[in-house]
Amino acid sequence: MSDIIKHSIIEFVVRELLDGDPEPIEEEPDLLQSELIDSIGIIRLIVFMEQEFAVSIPPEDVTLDHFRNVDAMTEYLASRGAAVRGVGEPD
Amino acid sequence: MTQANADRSTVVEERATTVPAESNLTQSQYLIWLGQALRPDTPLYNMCHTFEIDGELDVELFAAAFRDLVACHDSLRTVVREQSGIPQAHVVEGVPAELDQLDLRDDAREGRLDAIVSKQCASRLDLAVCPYRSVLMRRGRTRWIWLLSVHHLVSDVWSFGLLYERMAALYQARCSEDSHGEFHWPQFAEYASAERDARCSARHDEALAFWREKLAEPAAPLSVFGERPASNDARTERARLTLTSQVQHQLERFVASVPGVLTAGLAEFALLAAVLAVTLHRLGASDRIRIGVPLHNRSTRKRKQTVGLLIELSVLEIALAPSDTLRSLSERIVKQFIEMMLHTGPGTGAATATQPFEVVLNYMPVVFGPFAGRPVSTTWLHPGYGDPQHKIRLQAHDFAGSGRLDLDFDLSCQRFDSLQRTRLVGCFEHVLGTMLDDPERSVAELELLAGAERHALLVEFNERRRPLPERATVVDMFVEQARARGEDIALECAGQQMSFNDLERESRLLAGRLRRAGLSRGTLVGVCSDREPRTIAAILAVLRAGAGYVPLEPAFPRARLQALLDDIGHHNGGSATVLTLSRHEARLPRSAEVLHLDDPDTTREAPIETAEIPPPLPEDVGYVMYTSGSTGRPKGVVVSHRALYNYIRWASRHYVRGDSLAFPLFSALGFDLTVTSLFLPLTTGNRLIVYPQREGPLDTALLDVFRDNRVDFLKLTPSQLAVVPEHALSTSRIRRVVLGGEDLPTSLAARLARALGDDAEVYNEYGPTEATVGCMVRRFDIEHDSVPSVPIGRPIDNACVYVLDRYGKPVVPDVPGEIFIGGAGLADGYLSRPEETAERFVANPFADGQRLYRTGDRARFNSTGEIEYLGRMDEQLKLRGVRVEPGEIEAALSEHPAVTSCAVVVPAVAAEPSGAGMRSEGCCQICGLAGGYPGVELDAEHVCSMCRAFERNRQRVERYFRPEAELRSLTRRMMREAGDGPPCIALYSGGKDSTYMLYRLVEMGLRPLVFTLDNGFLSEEAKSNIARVVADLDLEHVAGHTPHMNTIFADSLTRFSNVCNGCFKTIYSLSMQLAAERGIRYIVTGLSRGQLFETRLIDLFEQAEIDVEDYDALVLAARKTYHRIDDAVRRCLDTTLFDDDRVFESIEFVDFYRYVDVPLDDVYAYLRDHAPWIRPRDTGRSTNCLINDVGIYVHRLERGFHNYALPYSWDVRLGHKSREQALAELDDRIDDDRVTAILRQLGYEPAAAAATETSGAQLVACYTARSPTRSEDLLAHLRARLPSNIVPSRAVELNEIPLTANGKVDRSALAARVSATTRSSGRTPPATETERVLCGVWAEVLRCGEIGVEDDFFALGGDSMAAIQIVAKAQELGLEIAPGAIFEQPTVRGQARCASPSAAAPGAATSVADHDGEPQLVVDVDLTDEELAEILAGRSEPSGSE
Repeated sequence: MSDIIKHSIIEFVVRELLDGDPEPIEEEPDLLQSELIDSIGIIRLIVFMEQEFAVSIPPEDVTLDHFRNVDAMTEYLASRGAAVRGVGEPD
Repeated sequence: MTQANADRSTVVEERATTVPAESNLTQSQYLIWLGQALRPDTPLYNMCHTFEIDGELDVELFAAAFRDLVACHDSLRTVVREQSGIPQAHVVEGVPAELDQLDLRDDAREGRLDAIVSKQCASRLDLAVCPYRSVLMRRGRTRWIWLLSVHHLVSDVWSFGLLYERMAALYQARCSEDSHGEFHWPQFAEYASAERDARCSARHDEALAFWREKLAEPAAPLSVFGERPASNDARTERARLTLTSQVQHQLERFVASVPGVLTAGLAEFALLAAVLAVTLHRLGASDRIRIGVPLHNRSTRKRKQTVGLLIELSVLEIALAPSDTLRSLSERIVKQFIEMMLHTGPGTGAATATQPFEVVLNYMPVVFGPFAGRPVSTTWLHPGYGDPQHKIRLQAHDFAGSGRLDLDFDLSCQRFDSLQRTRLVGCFEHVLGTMLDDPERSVAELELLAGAERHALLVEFNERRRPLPERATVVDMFVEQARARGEDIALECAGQQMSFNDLERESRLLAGRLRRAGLSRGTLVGVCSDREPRTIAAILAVLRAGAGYVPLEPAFPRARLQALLDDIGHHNGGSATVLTLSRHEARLPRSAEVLHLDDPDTTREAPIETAEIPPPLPEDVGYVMYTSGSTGRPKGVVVSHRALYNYIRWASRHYVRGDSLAFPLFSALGFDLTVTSLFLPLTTGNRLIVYPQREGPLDTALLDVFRDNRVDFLKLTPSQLAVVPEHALSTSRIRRVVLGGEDLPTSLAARLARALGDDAEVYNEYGPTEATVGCMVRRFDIEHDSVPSVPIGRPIDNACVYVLDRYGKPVVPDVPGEIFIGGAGLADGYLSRPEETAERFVANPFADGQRLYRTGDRARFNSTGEIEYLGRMDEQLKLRGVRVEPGEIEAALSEHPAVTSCAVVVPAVAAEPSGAGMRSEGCCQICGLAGGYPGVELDAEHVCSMCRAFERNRQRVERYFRPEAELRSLTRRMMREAGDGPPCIALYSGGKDSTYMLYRLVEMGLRPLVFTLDNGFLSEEAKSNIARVVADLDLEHVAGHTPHMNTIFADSLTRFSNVCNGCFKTIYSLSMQLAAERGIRYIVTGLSRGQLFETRLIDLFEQAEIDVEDYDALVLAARKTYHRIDDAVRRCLDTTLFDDDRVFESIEFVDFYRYVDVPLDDVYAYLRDHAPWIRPRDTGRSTNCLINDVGIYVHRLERGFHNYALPYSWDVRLGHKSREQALAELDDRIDDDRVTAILRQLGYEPAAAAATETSGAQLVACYTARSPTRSEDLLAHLRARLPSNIVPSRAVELNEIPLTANGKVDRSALAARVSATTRSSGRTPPATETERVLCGVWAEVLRCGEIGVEDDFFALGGDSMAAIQIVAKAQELGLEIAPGAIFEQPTVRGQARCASPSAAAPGAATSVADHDGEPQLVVDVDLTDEELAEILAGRSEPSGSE
């Protein structure tokens, strides 16, 4: 489950924010500080996450702790009860 | 506004700001395009940087690199063309404009570079031709300045960073002979297409819905430094604040401490937004600050590489609570910012543009590094203009990458004067520093003033200490005067006199009687009597008995008298004693103990010695006066002897100064203003003349005062003064006048001062009853007072006055706050109202143990350190000086069984026309032109921009004027060419200038044919001047006339708000016809130099050198256009003559005063010695034409300034008149009746209604009723309950009472509605051809049926888009209207007045496609000939002063 979330995030970032440039974002400990992503990129990610994982992310949750790197995001989404479309809930 | 209304208007606005489907612009581009289209000639959106490069550069390679740069970016090749109001972007092939080069190495002239740079920066970028301008300037061998100016429609700050970087890369590539073809950057077209798709998405619709809801409630107007009327003025000035390293360090530390924030930049932005909001709030803005925020909107790598306008405007609304701190605000703003970003995306700017914001915060993280290895210093230039909606733009950046923030404030020049601009930036810096020092300090605790400024307002302002004697009262003062004056007359009334001895005795006897009736110190006695000597004695007696007097009007309704007597009885612990006359007894309730002043027994019985009555002490109550109470019950203000003594002692020192003066008593004794007139003479040994009340609804005793004309001093309200006729004032012996009780309009004070003459003293006194008559005063200064109301000045002895904001902190000068009063004059409180007393009388935070009275009056400190009154904080009204709480009347109204809801308002009245060009202060120190004159600004030294420009260019401009010798040789040529016929026509008005000219021409040997236009309004004296002069010189004289003169005048008024333009044109047309008929080749005019400047030269001095020969050619070209304008002259007169160009070449105009330089005084002296010319007296001014006043009247009314202000200012500048002469000539007294009669004759109705005097203000009761109720019944109901002076004059039944968003009665809407109900409604049909055409255009664009010329553009649903369409359609029909005029003149009538015939005739409508060829980029500070011709053609209609 977490892996699926993580994979989706990485795929979205590379495809939508980095225009397909393969960057080692999975290993990057601080995506914002390294300027791989900026705040507007985080906003795009949030919109994506809300749709993709059927969660709602309130503005007060948009903090560095939750969005510093891919692992932090994954963990945060899991804590919000993220569901992956077609995965998870049995029919 | 109701919710439904707000929603509707939001949707309407959204439509107006949404890019039309037919256009290919992005939403953001469209907003920029709209803004620019409304002001095509203003550089609102020029983004301009200079890069000063240090090092070798190859110019050719640089130019090539720039070509590459343009080729690589579609944005730089984008032009925008408009068809029927729809803009389309086109990317042109090739490079629209090359790099311009300028070698300034040899040009050492001071400021030359700066002049070129600012000219370039502010030069219009024509979007239809080329969106940029690029100039490389060489300053030294290795010093270069590259200037790049790009229109915002195709770029943003981010783009600028990219363009700069890439220019460097391309130059590098050119140098190393690499091909630039390797560079491939994303193009804007890709973004534009993605943006278009995004606008069709569901997410976009959601975002729009989000903003619609978020912004449903309109923002409060930005009342920083008080409110100002909305304006479209786009001038802004930039002020830079560079943070100190200490503040920068604190800022970084704070930013690092904001928990969890995504980026440091976000925290930094939040901090700046917080400080900005708090600063603006504490400078007068509401607690909800709406800030526009441009977001760079580049979420992907590709977007980050795209040059073009990608930013989207978003909105942050910061709600401030008193307990907010820098920390709480910053954390909240971070969250709001995230939320804002979540709803901002491509195209969402349309929604946020619906509720415009006046504040913008732009955080620009762009750094300009070295240029291809060469050190660079970059300057961001300001074009001097900005989007007129944005009054404050704060732009934070660190372009140089220095690690320190630069804060650029672009502040509206119209909204803020230069001192306020400096203050705003200074306060921001102070708030930033203070909040960073202590991020936990609350908004409420924050002090905006510190150090000397604070000390000046709190302490120095209140330093009029004058110790009070331990035991002294007005009783002591009176007794002392009585002893000294003895048999001198103290009182006089209707021929009867009473000496000080008599008055002393009578009051002593009555005091004894009162003592025996059990009244003693601390009790109250009602005095219900008429204005007559017995009453004065009664008041003195009450005071001498140690009691306080309570004046009661016999005319009060019974219910009110009962309520007041109950109050007194309650206070005295039993029944109330009233001193009255037997004829009023029936009005008093039975419970009252009545003593008859007209009963001899009252004072006869058992006299006691004064010694037996202990005199009152300072702490004893002196009087109680009632004021209107908001709850419906009047409040009795208890004033002690100490307070009364303090005021009277000060007033006698200030106003009387030991002089012998007679005072009138003519106003109501229950009005505290009357205290001055009553006690001043009694306590200074002067005579009091009593004027009894007049029967009838209005007490006209004041008029008796003037009829009698025996007093030297007068105290009254401005409303009372307003009814005094002019002649009564000018023949009055009164030398000292004190005005009090309400706002004093400067115009009224000036009228009074002028009528009374130079040595009269006029004072404006301020003070609520609660601070005893007056606590502040200011002597009116006719020379310098220019604000609409006379300031209330400074505190009197022992008074202290503060202006505090809602947090109880002293306000910054210019910021409105509430007046708080402390000191010896404070009343004890309200009689038997401990709660209301505690509410209004509060502890003084600046002086332990003292009290302050919070007045509810709004005021501010002005720049001279005095206080200006601004109105009420609450709903209290002042009517003719009497305080009126609407609540009191509403409470009485609600008691009527049929009334369901009600509100009382004063209907809106038209404002008085502004006095621009008339008053001395606020006028240029050199020429006297008023600061408010269109396009003219005064600098810190009070010198106007025109004088400054003239100083700079004086020499050059004066070259236009030629020596007299040239005129002599010209006259010889005239005579040679003429042969037997007249050598020239001299235009002769009969005025001083043209009479002088005529004599001088004859002196030079010329025998001109004299031409005069008889316009039907020449004064008799002017006509006899003309006849005498022509006979004296024995010249042939032709008097031209036309039966159409009135039509021409009406047309001139419609077009120019004056009569002179039409008259002049008639003179030119008829004289040219005469010249053509008689074969005369020259026409000599007597236009003064001022007129020459106004009509011909105004632009010459502002612009760089123009050859005089060229200039004459331009004037000639302009003249051709001038005579072909389709106006009344062209329609009414036979002007076929002008169809042939050759006539303009064959008949030459010669301006006499171009050659002859003569001051006004010399003209008069010459005429006195040489000519039988007499200055006309029958026109009331130095004119010879009776219709002149009509032009002045209409011009002032419609345009707000005097039409002679400009030409006269030139006369002053050129040394022909003194400033005082000009100002005196501009200070016209216009006979309104005569003007109205002439206007009726012309069939012209001025646009604005004539000003209504404040004294005409009336109360109107509005109500809704459950059953039909006659308004007369309601008024009768009120008359039975309220004093007559606060009974509304009308009652209006409404279907509903309008409410504000907060659910309170919307009093301004109500006032407007009430005044609207009095105006006649209905459609006004068009009267002129232009109006008819415009009505048609409106009907088409606004999709309405019939349009009336007075209909409001906005009320018919007009918006920006409609405005553009109107301009476009009108142009097709041959009418030129400036787009901005649509908003400034929202009626057909107004727009018709601004319209002029199109330069392009129908069919030849200027198509932008015509510009397709080579664009013109002139790297030159001069104007092009075309530009100049345009200006000349637009301004070539003269107006004159003769």
